[in-house]
Parts: sequence; structure tokens; C-alpha cells
Amino acid sequence: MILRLTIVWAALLVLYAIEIVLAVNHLGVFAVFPAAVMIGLTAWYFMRLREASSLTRVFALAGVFWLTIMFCLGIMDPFTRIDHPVLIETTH
Amino acid sequence: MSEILKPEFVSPDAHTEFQYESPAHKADTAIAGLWLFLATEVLFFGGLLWLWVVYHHYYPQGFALASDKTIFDIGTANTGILICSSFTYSLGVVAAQRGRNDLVVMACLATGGLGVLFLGLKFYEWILDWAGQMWPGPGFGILGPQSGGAQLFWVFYWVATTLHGLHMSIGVLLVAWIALRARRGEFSPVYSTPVEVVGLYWSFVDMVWLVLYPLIYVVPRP
Repeated sequence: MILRLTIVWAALLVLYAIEIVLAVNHLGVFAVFPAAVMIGLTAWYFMRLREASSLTRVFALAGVFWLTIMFCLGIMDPFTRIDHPVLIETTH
Repeated sequence: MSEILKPEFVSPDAHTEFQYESPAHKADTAIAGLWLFLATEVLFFGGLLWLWVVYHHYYPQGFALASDKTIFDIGTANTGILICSSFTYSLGVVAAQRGRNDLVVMACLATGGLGVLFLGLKFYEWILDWAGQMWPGPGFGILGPQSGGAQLFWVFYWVATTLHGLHMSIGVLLVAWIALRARRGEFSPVYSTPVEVVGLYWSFVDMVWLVLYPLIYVVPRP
């Protein structure tokens, strides 16, 4: 148990180092990938979803599920809208 | 009344009320309940993340200019601090399950100490941000055509880090409460639920920072 937690901690520190390397090399946009793995590791091991009951896992998934729906509906308009420049008449 | 209480419903220990079959059932209920609360927290912080995604889409250059003004070193140090704090608290949960209250106290002191260190650094960073004229509105430090987008980034920064800081402060108080209870020797292999539940909250707040760190300091950086 303690060994496993230590390995997870070490893995988190490695991913954290990757994020820093990406940031200083102007590749920050790729940091979302190590960040996503870090979140997964934290939830699965430190927050013990690994040992949790089915009901608990359903609640955890429900959070992600509703967040996904909120995000998808929320970005639908801003990401698909085409903004046309508007010409304003200044002379008569 | 007493004859309708079947023997198996009689509490097997002082911490298990009649509505639970066993201490494990009670612990599972508390843990599921806290996850239900965390699901609402996901949506709460999710609204903020959604704002970041939409405004980053509209103002990528403003966000890049604004992110360049954040104090990368402090944000990065704080990320490492929180990763370590989740680990030390996880060790405390294992100690509680084994009835080692002395180690729970030590884990809580390490975790709470790292939490206070995080908040101290964050507070210092806020002062530097303020001094660097990064408060949106009149007198904002980034001028020019990208000023609007940069201000939206800093609105996100102030709101998100303040909300996260409030959660951290509550977390430090909860960890201190666990330390006091452990000092009184309250946890044992049959009863460690409060330690586990506070750990879920603590790691969740750590996880929120694992999202905020790339969004503030890393992804928009030029």
C-alpha cells in the first residue's frame, strides 16, 4: 500500500517535471496531457477510487459526465460561430 | 420495541448506528456522500473552466500576454507542494486504517504545513500581482489592443485562485481537526472514516490546482 502510494507520488513528480519542461520550451499547450494523467492518478490512487464502492464510482463518473455535457453545450455556440466584420457607414 | 430489533442490527461498535449493517457499510455511505458533494464541486469549478476555454478561444493573444505576467516560479513551486501534500495525507489514511494515531498526527502536520506554505506563497504572489498592476480595470498594466483579453484572463486568475485558496483554507482547518482527533487516539482499524473523507476533500482541492496550474501558468504562455 505504502509502496504503491510512493510510486504514484514519484509518477506525479515526473509528470510535473514534464509540464515544467514543456512550459519553459514554449510548448505549454501540450501540458494538458500530463495534467490529465495527473488528475487521473490522483483520483484513482490518492482519492481511492481504486478501492471505492460502485456507488462511489458512479458519483465520480456523474461529476465528469455532467461536466462534459455542460462543456459541450457551452462551447457549441462560441466554437461554431463565424464572426463577420461589420462595415459601419461613417459618411453620409 | 426492543423485540423488533434483530440482533444483527445492534451496533457492533460505538460508531455504527442501527441503520448500517456494518462499520464498512457506514464508511462506504460517508465516502459516497462526500463524492456526491465533490461532483457538485466539479460543476462549480467547471463553470470557471468553461469561461477560460471560451475566452481563450476568443482572445488567445491577450491570454498569452497576460499569462506571461504571471509568476511562473511561485505557481510551479505551489504545484509541487500540493502534489507532496496529497501524498503525505494518503500515508496518514493508511496509518489511520492501521490504528497508528501517532503517525496520523505526523501526516496531518506535514500536510497542513504544506497547505499553509502553499497559502503563504499564494498570498505573496497576490501581493506581487497587485504590485504589477494585474488587477483588471482602470490602471491595468497591459495596454494596447490585447488589453481586454488580458483583463479577462486576470479576472479568471483572481476569481479562480481566490476560490481555490478558500477551499485550501477550509482543508487546512479540516486537517487540523483530524490531527486533534488522532491525538486523542480516536482512530482504529474499524473506525477511520473521518480521516478518509477529509483526504478526499484535500486531494480534490489539490486536483483543482492541477487543473488551474496549466490553465494559468503553462498553456497560454507564449
